[in-house]
Amino acid sequence: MLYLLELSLQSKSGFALVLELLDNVIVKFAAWAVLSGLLYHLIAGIKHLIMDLGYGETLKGGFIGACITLALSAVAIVTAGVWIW
Amino acid sequence: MVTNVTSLGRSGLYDWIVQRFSAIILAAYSFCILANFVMNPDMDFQTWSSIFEGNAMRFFSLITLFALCAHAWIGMWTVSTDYMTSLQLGESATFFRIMFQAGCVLLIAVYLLWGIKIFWGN
Repeated sequence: MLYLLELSLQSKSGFALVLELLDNVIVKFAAWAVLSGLLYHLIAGIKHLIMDLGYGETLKGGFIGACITLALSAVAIVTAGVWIW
Repeated sequence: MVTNVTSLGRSGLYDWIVQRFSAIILAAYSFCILANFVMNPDMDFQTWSSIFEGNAMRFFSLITLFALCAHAWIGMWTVSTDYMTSLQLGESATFFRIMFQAGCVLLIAVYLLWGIKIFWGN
């Protein structure tokens, strides 16, 4: 991903090469996999920060938090997939 | 208290604080990039590179890069000290864990320097 970033900022031709690379299905899938991991980690992390503030630390709260996290992550990951494809 | 030399901070609490603050920086940066993508959907090279032209965005990117390195180091250290123990790997666990941690640190250092080159090099 850093390699794509470096290429894309280097020059116009680098940017064009990135666009070309991103047309490749394997690259798209890899980008989507990395993005999905990040999205889930981000959403679950926000849940942890909320819990650090003292909310949702009961058994029930934990369960609700987990369900929300999974639901939100699923939506985000699907959206990312649509955006990439 | 078990003192540990491979963790990032002096104490567990220090790591805990750094983990949370770096997470907030990383989240803020992620939302900032997301906003950029939403605001101008089909970017050409000019728009894309102009985002990272200004010093504000360069500083923010580099600060985020440092936060990412700290976040990753603490995260991987926590994972490795939880799961690479004698329980899972027998008595040579420490050797493998140290090697794993060294590998992580090396990778983090490479990403740090590479990132700096990208955001500051050209």
